[in-house]
Amino acid sequence: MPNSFNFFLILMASLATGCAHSIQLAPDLDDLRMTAVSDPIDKNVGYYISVADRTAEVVTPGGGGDDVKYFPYKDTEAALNTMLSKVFTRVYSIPNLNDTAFFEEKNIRMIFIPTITTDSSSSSVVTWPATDFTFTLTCTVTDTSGRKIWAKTVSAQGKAEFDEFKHDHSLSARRASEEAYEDMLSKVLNADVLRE
Amino acid sequence: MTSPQYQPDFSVTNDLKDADLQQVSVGDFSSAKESVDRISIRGSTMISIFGGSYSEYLEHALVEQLRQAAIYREGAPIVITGTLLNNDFDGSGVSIGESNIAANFVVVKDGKQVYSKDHSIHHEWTSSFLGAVAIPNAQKNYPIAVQKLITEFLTDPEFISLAKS
Repeated sequence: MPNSFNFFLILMASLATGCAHSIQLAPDLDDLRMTAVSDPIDKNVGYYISVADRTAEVVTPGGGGDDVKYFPYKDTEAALNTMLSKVFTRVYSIPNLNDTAFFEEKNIRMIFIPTITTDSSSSSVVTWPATDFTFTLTCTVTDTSGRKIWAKTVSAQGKAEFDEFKHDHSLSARRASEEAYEDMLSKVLNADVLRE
Repeated sequence: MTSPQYQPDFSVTNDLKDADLQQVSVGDFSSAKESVDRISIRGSTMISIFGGSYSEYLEHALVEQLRQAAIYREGAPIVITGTLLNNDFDGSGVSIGESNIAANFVVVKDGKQVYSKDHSIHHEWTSSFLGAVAIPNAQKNYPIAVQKLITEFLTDPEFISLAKS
């Protein structure tokens, strides 16, 4: 399809003011998967995402007066599971933070609880996709009794210009989330307290 | 309009991780008929993000599901292939949208076919009279319908049994 026609379609969509357009934050996981981990940790861990978080749809600004909407936790759960699986022997999705029988059965030693905040903006007044996206990820780690043993926050910014995002309206967001999870992997690998 | 990216079903990954399955790989998935690669939601075409092919969408979705369960390895001697038989996706309803998806899954182990079975699912979601609500709702539900089909296959006791270590 000619580029001018793509531009026309996005322009027309942008003129429908006040719209919130769906995007997906799910990052490309290839780089995360290929990251060499020389010293993995021989422990089973879990991660917990509440139902409220998993189903939470967030709306932040896009361009041309429109917004973008997405599910930060659901969209990036695969990245969280992949990141933790690079480090730990086995990673489980925990359905309930109080299910001690589940922790014992799976030999879970620590629980990762992610907190995600996002923001976006666009330098364009005629197209709706965000040209700038900020993804901030905090991982709080507790033992199975709920005692906090580690926490770290990373923040990444993704940028995408029109020529790039015309084929992927989520590009700036995907770039930001990918960088955040790669950064968090490095922080987890360097956290001595998680190896004790 | 393009299909959303597949999101794995994490409700089954715990069980798959604990099932002591051998590593598996995924071969080609094909389309049984041209119509499975065409989805229209109230006049808007939803194109598969994999070159317009929904059998390839299913193939990539299965790979991602297996990767998240830590049982995927390219070149593993257990190979899953398949054929997308049916891909009906209807967002025209004013209160309910529905889909019926079916595929034949084939498993070859050490060069010998050990499994061939059709799996099908029916999925419903909340729709609306308003196209501005109904179309994105339908779009969001395609990966969920595919999740259900993949889960149906991966939790089949016959598949679990033959993939056991």
